[in-house]
Amino acid sequence: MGGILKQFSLLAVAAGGVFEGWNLLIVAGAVLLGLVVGAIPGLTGTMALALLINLTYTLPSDQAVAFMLGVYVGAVSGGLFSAIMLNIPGTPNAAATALDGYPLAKKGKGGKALFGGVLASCLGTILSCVIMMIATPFLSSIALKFGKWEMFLLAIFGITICGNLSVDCSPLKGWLAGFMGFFVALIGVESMYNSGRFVFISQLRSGVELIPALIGLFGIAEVLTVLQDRTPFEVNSDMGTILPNKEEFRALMKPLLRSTLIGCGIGAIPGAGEDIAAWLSYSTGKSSSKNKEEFGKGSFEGLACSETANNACIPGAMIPMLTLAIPGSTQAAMFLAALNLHGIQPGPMLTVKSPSFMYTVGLTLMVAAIVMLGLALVLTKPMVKILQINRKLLMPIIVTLTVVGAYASRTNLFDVKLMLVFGVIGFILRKLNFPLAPLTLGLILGGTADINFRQSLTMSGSVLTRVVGDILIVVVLYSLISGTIKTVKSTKEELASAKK
Amino acid sequence: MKKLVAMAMGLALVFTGSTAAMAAVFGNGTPTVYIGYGAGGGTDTAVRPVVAEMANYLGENINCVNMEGANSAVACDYVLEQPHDGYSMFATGTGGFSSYPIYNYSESSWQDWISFHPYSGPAVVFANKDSGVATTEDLFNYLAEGNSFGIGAYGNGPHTQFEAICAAKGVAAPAYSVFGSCADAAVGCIAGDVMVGAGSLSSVIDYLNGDMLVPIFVTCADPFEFTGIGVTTPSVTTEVEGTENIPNLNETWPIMIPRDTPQEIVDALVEAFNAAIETDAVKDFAAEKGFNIIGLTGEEADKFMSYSISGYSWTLFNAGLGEGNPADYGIPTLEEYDWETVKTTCEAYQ
Repeated sequence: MGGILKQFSLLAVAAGGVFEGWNLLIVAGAVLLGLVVGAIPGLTGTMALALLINLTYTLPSDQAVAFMLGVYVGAVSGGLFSAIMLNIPGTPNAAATALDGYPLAKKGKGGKALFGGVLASCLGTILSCVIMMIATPFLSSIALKFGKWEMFLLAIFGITICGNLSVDCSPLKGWLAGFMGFFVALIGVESMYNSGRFVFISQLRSGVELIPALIGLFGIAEVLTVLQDRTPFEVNSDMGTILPNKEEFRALMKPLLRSTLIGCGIGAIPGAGEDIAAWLSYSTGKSSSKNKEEFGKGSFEGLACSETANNACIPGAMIPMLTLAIPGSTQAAMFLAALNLHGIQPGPMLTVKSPSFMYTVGLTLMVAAIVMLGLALVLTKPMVKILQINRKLLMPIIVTLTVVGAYASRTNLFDVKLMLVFGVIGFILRKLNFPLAPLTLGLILGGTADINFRQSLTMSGSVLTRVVGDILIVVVLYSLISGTIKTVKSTKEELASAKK
Repeated sequence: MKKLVAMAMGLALVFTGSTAAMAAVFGNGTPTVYIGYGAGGGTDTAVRPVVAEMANYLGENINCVNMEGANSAVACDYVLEQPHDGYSMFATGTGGFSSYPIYNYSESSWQDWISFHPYSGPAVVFANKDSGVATTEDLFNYLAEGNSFGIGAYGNGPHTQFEAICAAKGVAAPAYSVFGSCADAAVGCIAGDVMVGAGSLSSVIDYLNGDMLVPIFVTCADPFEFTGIGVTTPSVTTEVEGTENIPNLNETWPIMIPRDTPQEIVDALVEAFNAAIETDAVKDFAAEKGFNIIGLTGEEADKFMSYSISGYSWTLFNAGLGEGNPADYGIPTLEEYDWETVKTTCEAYQ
């Protein structure tokens, strides 16, 4: 009882700091900045945090924490704006959002999709914060069970769901696209023995950068598609309300708990991250939904699966970072670096040195999520007007933004060329009716699967005696077998209909 | 309100990439430090506080961009390709930089750079708490059974130093498990992926102070006290005979600019660097992370770099790692090393 009371008193101490006027203002400004950064294709939360850390250096630590977390939350969600309105995910973690968000926009429900996406993000963050504040000690010990072998299996599981991400085409195409992405992810000097793989030009030594590749696949491919359309889609009618109706709201809420748990859990695993969480949540949601045929064609449920999970990942990533000083994602790693700059040392000693800090983080994230929802109410209507502009007129602006985004990720012109190459590849694949989602998943997970597999091979002792690994093997086998059956079945159906 | 306005202005500067026209040193844009390793990693964490204090001193923003790949050689070559005007700087670890000739990552050497070394840091060898390994003897017995040893990367400071320690002890180097970074090697050890490993002290000190790993020995000249657990860990020099030279190979994390950068920029950066390492913030950070502030610049820094390159590249070569031969690059062994001779290879000293 005394322990619970102590935790409540720590929560009260943290609340006193978080709800201080300046801190609230800073969170609001930071969330807005994060949303803008996230919405611009190529600019990610990691990049924003990397650039802004030094700017927060002169601020008191509580204000710096408020600022960094605000940017973090805003940037993770910001990607949904361009994903929904332009079919170009602003950040890699919004790639799954585009699958349903863009079709919703095409149906004239862009405003509802934007607000629904932000609502899902907000609720995912808040629920995940509650989990973080209650279950941190338990979850951090589970997270440590994910060694290299388990990470490899998790990545393989991600790749096995590629067939499931095929919309309006054979699952076989999904698998092929997935392995194409997997292959591309292996290009470059591998980090274990430093051997070059498919490095035909020196700029490829550091591999194919994910961000320019994604901007190309989605952004440039979209531009090329629009330019060759005689009558590209345009929304001329009044957009009406941005608030979802009862049925849409119910669809948004359906995956809330499951996606939050997936997001929070994936976030807690060191080395995973928001993009993996979004894809796994989307795939799981699609498999278990009663309306799975609507996924990929404009489903509010599908939209919520991705957006809830990627934001729920943020508090999840804080769990190992705060208790073990092990960041769950790249953005959490940047936050850890920022805390170090301000003399805050996360890790096992945190509960002794700054016992209320975990609550400060949790409450700040909640405030940031609520602010984000408020901003979405204000910003959505004007932003939706973008959908009413003739898309051929929009394209030059989009091309400029994509070039800036690709260049900004490493300030390297080669990345712009890379983006253009992937743009052409994406365009051709679209024409051949190959889904881009599995290709993205392969790109994201290929490197993780490769390095973790080879690292686990160098470990002494059998990996087959590890319980979490064994459970994952069963999950992977199930996914593989059910995926294969589905692929064979659908290929037969396709052949039969072709004969007819 | 002033703070908000200041922050808004700062953000505007970052995103527009322009600095005020009145800027004293960098009047034509925002300088950028390209950090050769990933965001939040050991080098990134080590470099940022110094860069932040340098920016404070200059009254101008300095961006930090992470450009990882090939043990930091990607960033190294990229900065060398940019105009040598001081707007593009490079940050790495001396361990990684010294391994370039062995792995043929880059043709760049210390002669190409002016470097500022804020601090040096030893490596620490650690064990999983359930491993039963608690002493140096336990460690070598455990490795003799063929068990693997976790490291961050081939050619980094802890790996090269452990190779030299094995050579001094007269035992074969262990089978390595490479984790990508020192902090990851420590996490792998906590998670039980490996039961023993080594990493830079700064990257793993929190896990050791947090009683999540057992420290076996450190590679500095003196014993090191882990205040969080109240344990004093011995120096390798008292644990393994013939390792007196190992502390000289402790890694540093220098900020570097091409050697032909205009002198007024170099002078301003040296001044800012010297001011930065005198600040309480950098001193406190160094103390928390187990760094020794050394503040090497000018000829001292060049001497340190060339000595490290000799030590690291020959240790790796003798261990049969990599493809390059240091002799082909005119790199002397540590036994042959003489600064007066070495410095004649650099145009700046002609």
